[in-house]
Order: sequence, then C-alpha cells, then structure tokens
Amino acid sequence: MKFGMKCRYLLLGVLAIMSNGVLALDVKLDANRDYVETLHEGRVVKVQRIQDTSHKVTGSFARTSRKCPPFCIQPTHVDPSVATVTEVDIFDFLENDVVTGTGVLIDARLPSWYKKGTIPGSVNIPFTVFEEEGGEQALTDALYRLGVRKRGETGAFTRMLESWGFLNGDLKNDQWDFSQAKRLILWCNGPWCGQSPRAIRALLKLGYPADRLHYYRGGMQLWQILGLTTVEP
Amino acid sequence: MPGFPGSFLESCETGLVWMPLSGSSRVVSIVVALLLWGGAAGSAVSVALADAYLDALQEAADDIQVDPLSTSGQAGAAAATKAERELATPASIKGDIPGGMDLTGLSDFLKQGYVGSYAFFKRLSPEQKQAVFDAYLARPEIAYIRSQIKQQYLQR
Repeated sequence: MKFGMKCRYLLLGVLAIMSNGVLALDVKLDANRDYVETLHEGRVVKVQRIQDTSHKVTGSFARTSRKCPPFCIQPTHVDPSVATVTEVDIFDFLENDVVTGTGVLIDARLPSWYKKGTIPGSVNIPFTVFEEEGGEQALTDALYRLGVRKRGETGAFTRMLESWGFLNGDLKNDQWDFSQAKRLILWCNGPWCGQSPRAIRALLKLGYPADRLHYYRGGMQLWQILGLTTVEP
Repeated sequence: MPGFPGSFLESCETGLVWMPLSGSSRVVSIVVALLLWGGAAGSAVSVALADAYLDALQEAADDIQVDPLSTSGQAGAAAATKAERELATPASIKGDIPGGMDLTGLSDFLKQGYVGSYAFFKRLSPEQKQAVFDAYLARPEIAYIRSQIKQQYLQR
C-alpha cells in the first residue's frame, strides 16, 4: 500500500475516533449506547438520559409515599408465567420491536395519567379496556392493535378437530385468535402502581400467550429517577 | 307465615303460585336465598371497591407532573451535551463525514458512531440504502444523512 493511501486511511480512522469521542454523551444509557431512537406517533424520538449530573428528580415522582391502599407496592412478578423486565430491555424493545411493529409498549394507565407524559414509543390502552369496562367493542379494537383477532362462531366440531390436531388450534380459544399476537411490555406508574398488573392479569384471563407478555415494574417512577426522556402526547 | 321462604322463592319464579313446602325443602330454600343474597351483596361490594379505586386514580392524576427536564423537545431537557450543541452549528456540520466511502463503509461508519440511525438504516431496502448513499455522495454531512435515513424509513 502506498504511503499516501496509508496516510489517508490513518486520517479517516483518526477522524472517526475523534467524532465518536466528541459526540459521546457523559451520561449514557448503558455501556454500549448513548441513546436509542424509536417511533412515537409517527415521529422519531431520541431516548436518552438527562446530562446534568447534579439534577434531582422533580415533580410528582419525587414523592416517597402514597396512601396504600390503593397505591401499594407490587410484587416483583405479576404472574409466574410473565417475565418482569428492566430499562435495558425497554431500550432494546424500543429500538427493535417498536420500530419494526412486532411489539407494542403499552402505557396501561388511565388517560388522565398518560396525558401528563409517557415513555416514548408507548401507546395508551388503559387497564380498564382489558377488563372490558369499556365494552366489548373497545376490547376488540384494542386487541386488534395487538395482532389478536376475534373468532367467528366456533362450533364444537371445529374445536374438536383443533384439539385433535386436524386443524391448527394453537394459540386460539373460543373467542380469540392469538396466533399473530404481538410481544407486549406493559407499564404504569411504577412499583406502587397496580394498573399494569391488572391489565396483565386481564390479558392472561382472555388467553393472551404469557410468553408474549412482559411487565415493566419500574414504570414512570424508575424512568424519571434515571432521567430518561418522556414525551407529552 | 308458614313456609314463607320456600313459598317466596316459588312465587318469585312463577309470579303467581303460593305453595307451602316441606321442612327440608324449606331449609334448602333458605340456604339458596342466603347464597343469592350474599352473591349479590358481594358483587355490589366489588363494584364499589372498583369505583373507589378508579376514583382514587383519577384524583391522583390531577396532581401529577413529570420532571420538566425529561420532556423531549423542551429547552435544555434531556438535551445534548455542550459538545453536541457546538457540533450543531452550521460551520461544524459541513463536511463532517469522511468522504470517499463506499456503501459498506458508510454503513460501518453509522454502526460505529450513530447506532440509533444505523438501527433504521439497516432496515431500509437496498434501493433506499442506495438513495441514502447517493445523498452522502452529494453532501457528506451527518445531520443531512441522518435526516435522509429517517425520511426513507418513514416512506417504507
């Protein structure tokens, strides 16, 4: 390789290193990422941490205590079959599943909470919808967004054929077809909030595959404590 | 009133008949009546508790405020470091990507320094990637290239 070409490649390498060093954030998300980008309501949003290392959380999520009940500390697991995830899992989910549409990050709080600010990439489906308090149509519409389809009249003969393996009955029950159900992560206000646990239990009761359900127990409380980006809907 | 509970149930069912029952039937009827009453009362309690929880949630939501510094788009919120802000000046944007890279080189460059943009870039079709590369050849500026990537991605 000629000396001039070597210099050129050396210069390119130095420029690359310099650009990485100058653009790197002081407060990263994790060892490998300064930020992640995801889609929120059709626009790209960058999720990163507050860079001011002297900043302390302000607002309502700075409170240490709320009356219990109703705001009691939740157990680590909503159900033995449902995985509890952390912020790093959310970052991966935002970058991959949310962007590709194969997963949905659900803010399971009532709209009055959602409107005050949410995690980027989230869609608001209040837990009351899954508990059918909004009516069957609201539930059907919500599940449709999650890849679940309502089954028509499923006769006993069809169910028998499915149970015997002559028809594909995997991930289907009498009411719903979960075969194309998306991966979900549900969250609410944090370890003291029962809204997303209720949503998860309702989904399990409907027949949603447990391995496609995940519980972000940290919720908005942990998200705020870590200085992560929120968006106002 | 002899046989009242049992006869009450019967009259509830038919609306008309008043039929006194035997002793054991009367006991069964009393138990059934108590169970029905208990179930109804329990349901009423559950509904009341659910309403109370929803009321508590709505009331608490009124006072909720997230940390303003975390809100995306706010001045100074979750914002760039000083170095990023300096880089955003027009003088620093122009020509800040090394020239002379091929498509693979550009892809590697994004992967090393702009992971977020790379996550979108790798999902583009070959034609869209070529369009981004053509944009790079015409104008090797990172802000411009990143906007091209986002534009192509949203057009998928």
